[in-house]
Amino acid sequence: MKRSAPDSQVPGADQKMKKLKEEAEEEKGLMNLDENLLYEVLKHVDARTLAMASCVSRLWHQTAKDERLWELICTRHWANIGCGTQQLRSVVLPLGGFRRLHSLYLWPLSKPQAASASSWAPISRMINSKPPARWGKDEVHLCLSLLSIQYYEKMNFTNRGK
Amino acid sequence: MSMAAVETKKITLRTADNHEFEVEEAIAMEFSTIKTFFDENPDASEDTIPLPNVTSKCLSAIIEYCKSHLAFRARETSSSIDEQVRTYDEEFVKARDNESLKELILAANYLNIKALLDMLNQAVADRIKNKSVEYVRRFFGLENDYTPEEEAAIRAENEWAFEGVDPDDD
Repeated sequence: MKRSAPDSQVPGADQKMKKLKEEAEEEKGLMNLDENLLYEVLKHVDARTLAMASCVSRLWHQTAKDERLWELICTRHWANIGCGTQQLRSVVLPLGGFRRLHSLYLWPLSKPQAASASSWAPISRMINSKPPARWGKDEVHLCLSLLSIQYYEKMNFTNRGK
Repeated sequence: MSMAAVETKKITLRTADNHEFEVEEAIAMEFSTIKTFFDENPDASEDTIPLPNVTSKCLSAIIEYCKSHLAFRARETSSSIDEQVRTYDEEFVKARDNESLKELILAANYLNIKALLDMLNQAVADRIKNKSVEYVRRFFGLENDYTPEEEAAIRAENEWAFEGVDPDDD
């Protein structure tokens, strides 16, 4: 790479400048967080930011859709799940995962104004229309039930009733 | 600092920009990377440790942080100490621009200082909270590598996240 150094009185100054420039460019790459560090940062963001993160770039999408991050988001406000973590995972993951659970059920139910929209009204009336700040067992189980219903509805029962 | 007959052991660290820092052993041990190195090489304590991935600006900030937190931990735990720690952390972060914050994260990650890294990650998370996608790209100096179609699709998928986003103020 040809580069004109401002003052190359010292022999090899060109080489040195070139090396410095390359190192600076490498550093710029280093200035970007790799996947692991990005994952660590994303552990601290809220749901909206995590979803927005998917839209930033492909690497961010790969990292932001990690189920573990969405599990953190989902369970953050759950005071009492009513079962162990492993058990929860064994239910949620096969039924579509935490990210789906969140965007389909947790998010709409956590917004009081959306809860008054027609499709959610009966449900939110069931949970007292103003969702509690920290969810208890009943709210959690309700959402898990909804998730499993949604999953079965999507199943293709082509071999039924032959 | 000369106290009684106990001479505090010092470790020398050399940064990427060739500055040498002499730190007390207790502080150097807060850097898990260095602690591990000494655990595996007990005879190396007299040597200067090179830190090719850390600038002097970062290292002096990190040393300050570790010194302060060591001092906090030496005192008796109480809610007022907790409050002081919180205030210290807030001040530590508040003064720094986004670039410095990123640099500190990389350095804290390299030196493996868990508490500092967690604190910095939370600070960055707070800074990008409720911001637009473009803001985040600028913040991290990232290229958009989506095609327009891909980007439209993924934004549609995450539509709910875009309600009520702060307008960019930078």
